[in-house]
Amino acid sequence: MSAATIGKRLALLGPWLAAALLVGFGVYGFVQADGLRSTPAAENHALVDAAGTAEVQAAATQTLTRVLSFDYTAPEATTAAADELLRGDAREEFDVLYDGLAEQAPGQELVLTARVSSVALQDLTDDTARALVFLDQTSQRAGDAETSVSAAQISVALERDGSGWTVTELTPL
Amino acid sequence: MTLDTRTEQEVDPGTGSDPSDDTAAPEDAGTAGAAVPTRAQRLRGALPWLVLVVAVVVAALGGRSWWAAEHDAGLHRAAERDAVLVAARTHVATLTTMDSGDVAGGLDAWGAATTGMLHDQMTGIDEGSREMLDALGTTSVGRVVDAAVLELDGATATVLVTVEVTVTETGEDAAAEPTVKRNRFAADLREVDGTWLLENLQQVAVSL
Repeated sequence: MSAATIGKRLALLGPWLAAALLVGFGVYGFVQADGLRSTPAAENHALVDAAGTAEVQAAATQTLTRVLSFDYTAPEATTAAADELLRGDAREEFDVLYDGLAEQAPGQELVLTARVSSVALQDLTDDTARALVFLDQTSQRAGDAETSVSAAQISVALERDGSGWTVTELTPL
Repeated sequence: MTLDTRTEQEVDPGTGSDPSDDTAAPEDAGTAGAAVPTRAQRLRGALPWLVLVVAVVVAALGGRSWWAAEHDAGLHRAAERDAVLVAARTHVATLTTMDSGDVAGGLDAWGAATTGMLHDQMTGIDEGSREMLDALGTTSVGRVVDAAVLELDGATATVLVTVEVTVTETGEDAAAEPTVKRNRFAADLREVDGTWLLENLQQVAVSL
């Protein structure tokens, strides 16, 4: 095989070699991009999706304020809120809390007022979210001269329910 | 590779001797005088260049996708959020921990975890206060129960942190049961030279 033949063969090979290198680079680029976009951090939209984050914060605030407030003169308002806003484990957790409350409430003339201090999102995907909630609860009883306040920290899990969010887990920390 | 040799082999017998080599390769360059390339030959000659064009497109798309992911503001923010959370958990645990047997070491750790005014306070603790901490005879250990980033704005962030502090008597009352307290904090952090440090640590008091 003459040098000229070898040269020509290389010339023929050139485009194919270049093509292989380019395709290799392109595929590597796609793999890198996919790697960057599929890390746990990237798949968590908390604080990245500002509107979605605000939506979950609002849902958690509204749910906990209604479900953890109680007036002995209208206990059904609290249970109705729980029926409407809580599902799964959160509902069971609520029932445990509420049963203890409902027994003593009439005699004590108990009034509980919950106020959410802040909600910070830990995790947000299309259908699930988890938040840490700081909540204040004031309680007023018949014999008390003044109200007492307690600070609570609650871990809340939410799931998308149609256009809104429902609380599915409620864990006092 | 195999395609290349086949191209030559098929062309060679058609044109015969030496000059055949000239017509074999540059069919598409239009220098073939003797034998006018057939449609199939022209197609075969153009194939490498077509493939090359496709390869250039693949490379461009892949490169663009990679570049876009590297410079994605959302991905960057997600990574920052997680970095802030890790730093907050570590630093808040540090600042709620103090061993009365090693006050100097504890204060060094407090200094390393903080920046700004808080850092000045931590590193400016005078000898009298150090001795007081020494004499307390208690050891506090802070454990972060849960934490979440509330706000993230460039180089500053606010993180909510729930801490369980266990206080153990190490002095005369060593036999006493350790007391466990739950505290909730709002921690302000600032990014200094790529590291998130505590700038402020406030208990979140109940508000009436």
